[in-house]
Amino acid sequence: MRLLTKEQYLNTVRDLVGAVTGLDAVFANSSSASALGIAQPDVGQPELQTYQDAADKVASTVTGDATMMTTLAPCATDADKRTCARTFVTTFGARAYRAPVTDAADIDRHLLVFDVGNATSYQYGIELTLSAMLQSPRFLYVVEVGTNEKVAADAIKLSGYELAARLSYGLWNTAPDVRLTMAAASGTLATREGVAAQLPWMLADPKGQTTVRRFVEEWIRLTDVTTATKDATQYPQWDSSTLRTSMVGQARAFFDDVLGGQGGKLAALLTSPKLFANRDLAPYYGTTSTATTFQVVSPTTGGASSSGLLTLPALLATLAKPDASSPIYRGKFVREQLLCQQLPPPPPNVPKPPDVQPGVSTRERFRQHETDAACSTCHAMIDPIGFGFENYDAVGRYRTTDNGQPVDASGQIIGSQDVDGTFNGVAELGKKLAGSQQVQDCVARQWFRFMMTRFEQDADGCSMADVLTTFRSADGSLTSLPAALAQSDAFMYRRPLDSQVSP
Amino acid sequence: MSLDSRTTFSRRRLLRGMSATAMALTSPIWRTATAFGADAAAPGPKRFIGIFSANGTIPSAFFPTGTAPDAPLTPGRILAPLQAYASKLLVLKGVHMTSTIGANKPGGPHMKGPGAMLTGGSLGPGSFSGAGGPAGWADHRSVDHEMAVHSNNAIGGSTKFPFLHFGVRATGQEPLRVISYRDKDMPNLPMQDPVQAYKTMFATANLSSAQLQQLLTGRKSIIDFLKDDITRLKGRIAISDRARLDAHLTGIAGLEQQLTTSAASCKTPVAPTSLNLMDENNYPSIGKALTDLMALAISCGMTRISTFMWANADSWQHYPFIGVPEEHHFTSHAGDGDAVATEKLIKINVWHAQQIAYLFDKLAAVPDTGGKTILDNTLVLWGNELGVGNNHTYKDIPWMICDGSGYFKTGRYLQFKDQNHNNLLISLLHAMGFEDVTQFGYPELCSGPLPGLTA
Repeated sequence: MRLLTKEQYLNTVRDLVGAVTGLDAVFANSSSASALGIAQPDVGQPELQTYQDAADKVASTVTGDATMMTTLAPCATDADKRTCARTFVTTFGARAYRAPVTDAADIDRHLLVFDVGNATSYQYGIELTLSAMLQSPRFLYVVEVGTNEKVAADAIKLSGYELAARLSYGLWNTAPDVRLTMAAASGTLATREGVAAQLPWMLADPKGQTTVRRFVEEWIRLTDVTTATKDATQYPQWDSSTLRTSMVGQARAFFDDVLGGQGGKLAALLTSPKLFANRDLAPYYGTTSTATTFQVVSPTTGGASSSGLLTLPALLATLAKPDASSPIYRGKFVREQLLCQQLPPPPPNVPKPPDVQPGVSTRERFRQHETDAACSTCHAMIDPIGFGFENYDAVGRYRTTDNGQPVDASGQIIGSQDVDGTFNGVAELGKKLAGSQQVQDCVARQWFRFMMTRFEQDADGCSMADVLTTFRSADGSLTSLPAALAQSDAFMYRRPLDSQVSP
Repeated sequence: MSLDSRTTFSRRRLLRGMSATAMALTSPIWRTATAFGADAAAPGPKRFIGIFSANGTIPSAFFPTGTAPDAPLTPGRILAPLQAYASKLLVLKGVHMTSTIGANKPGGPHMKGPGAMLTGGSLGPGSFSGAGGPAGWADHRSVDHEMAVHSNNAIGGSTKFPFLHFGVRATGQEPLRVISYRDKDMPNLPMQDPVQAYKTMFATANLSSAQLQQLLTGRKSIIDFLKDDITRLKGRIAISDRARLDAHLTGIAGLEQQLTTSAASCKTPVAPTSLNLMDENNYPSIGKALTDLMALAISCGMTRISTFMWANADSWQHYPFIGVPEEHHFTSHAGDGDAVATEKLIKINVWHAQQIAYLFDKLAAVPDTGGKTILDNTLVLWGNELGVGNNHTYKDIPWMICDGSGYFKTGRYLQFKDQNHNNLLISLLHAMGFEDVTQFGYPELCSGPLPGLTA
């Protein structure tokens, strides 16, 4: 049972009723989910208040809009209002609850709400019913009950509608559309082949064209840069210009190019030297531009060091301190996000590293991590990778000196499965990572978390192996991941309801 | 107690409106919301406000001089704006946020403070970055929430809102901008927009009684539908998901309480003007608007439990309106010997004390029962995420308590020898009447209420 994320809620409402002006503002005070939306706190009163406000807003918008009413809950002047409402409950309910509404008692429960409002007017009856349905846990959560059909001791088949919801939220971040619902109703989704047949058209659909890019964005937490803080004295342009938005746009232009034009290979994502810039970012590469859109640029500075997503300013500025680069954040990113190795948190009472001071490079400041035995065990896993990024400052600009000292971007990876060794600069690091099976395995895991909205478990081992095999035989093509996972056992089945483990 | 000048529509009028419907709004779901009445004779504070401000203090200006463990309070420079209330204050030194310290505690020092301040716990693991992250949400319930729900919602269950949380420009990664937690990993995020807060608090304010009746009847039918929905669904879902639906159902019950509980003595104020929340220069005006709303909600019985955050932990707010155009966090890292920076930090803290004095003025202007004012019967705690900004110490947090009820022996400056703030939180729970509480937050850090606080 997964709660819709804010984005999923907004997308789903958009698909169910159409545009509702100001709906996203209702969620302004809600907390953002964790990475990939996996960790979900329980819903309590503050959240329910938000859902109530949102549902009321949608319901009053619909009933106040003649076109929306005609589409969703038409009722001729001389028609029986309760019959019209009954039709609304079954048709809209099937879409909102992502399952047919057929139980007579269940329909009658809805009509009790309608009756209360219908005492005032038909519109108000629909308004109350619609608001109630949008506050129902059947709408707010993606509920999986499964079928009686056991395929193994710890696995049951999902219903076609449940698989349709997995597909649509996994790939589109919204509810199933008519075509997918019809596939569910006809039984097509009962087989792996039937599920696989939906992938091509779903990914070609406008809602699916950005799926893999959205994955990359969430995986590296791209939009974190928009809330990053920088020292106003050193980087006055940070708060006063459109720089941060441009960084996000630049990353998207690059991802679109890799996933489209360059064939979607993971290796290209990590190593492609192709640079996109607009007027805000052209100075990063020693060029100028007046364009607000993103064009390929020929850099006069730092070009040879460019290495795909690893040198995107959006990423490097996020993985930095307000006033300095951060070899720790950057090393940790590689270790955790690209190698899928979790590091322990820092011990208590960590002394603050020496402040930034003239004439001392960042690398030099972190020397204590090497000399102090209490630090070096963990930091030997982190800092030497991060040092490889030292050609990039706190806002992701290329540099050859740091605080007046020449940059030393030599680095080293230890403790990996297949990428141990030294390197010099990000471009060499990128090449190492691009050839690593551990990185491929990690990306496949991240995809699993993205599409399934949960962490992989021991029982998913065979599915993970299948996904990885497909991913490797596609030469690390990211666009092979959706279909690979959609046909796995992990996607097709779930645990029985009496299991203590979810899902 | 008759309804006084704060009344806009009377409870009788509401009931008259409701009686036209088929709904039975009798006891127990229809409860009076005010603190007037049955509990008037009971001693001790009846309301609580937890206040947060950021980046530590300047100890020499916050703590009074002298080394006596128990001395009459002579406010120092930072607390000088609260001089008029000195007899109701307790200033505590030597009470540390030890709960943030220990092996494997995720998050940087600024980040851990707000999650620990009212919980007596610390942050759990998670993926929120920034300010020394990553970390997750706090791992324990906060004391304000415990007050609201303790003894079967004895406090929170009696009011339209069991709690209301406010924050002025509390931005940045989530753990930096929350001090209230319903439970582990369950933050109560503050309302930051005065307009939105007003809409939430006075949603039904401008309705005619017929409109109000219609709204209440409609809401009631939806809530009944949802309760039924959850019961039906619960039998069909995985065992592991049932607890989530229980939490959901509890929340629905809270919405029902909000619906069926009158806040009849709350006069609807003028709606606040819309302010750009992103504009740092609006910090004082947003703060004043939210303070006004909180003071009203506390005074008229709309809620009895509130928290208020002045900016987020690690605050990057600038204070040009008091001659400190520098960023707070950056300035707080200046060395002890930097007299210019120290003076600026004192100014920032003095300014916050002035805002708290403004809140106290509002609460003290409203009479409560027994010759007391609302302020007298409101327990206030002012705390911080750190002791001092430049060394990130968790020791000697600048705690200030205000209590005019007579429960605490106030007007004193107390210096403890290394107490954990868990014991302070236990003291607060005792003050609110929950003397059965012996532990709060990490049990191993608790030894009971702080000694020598009570009258």
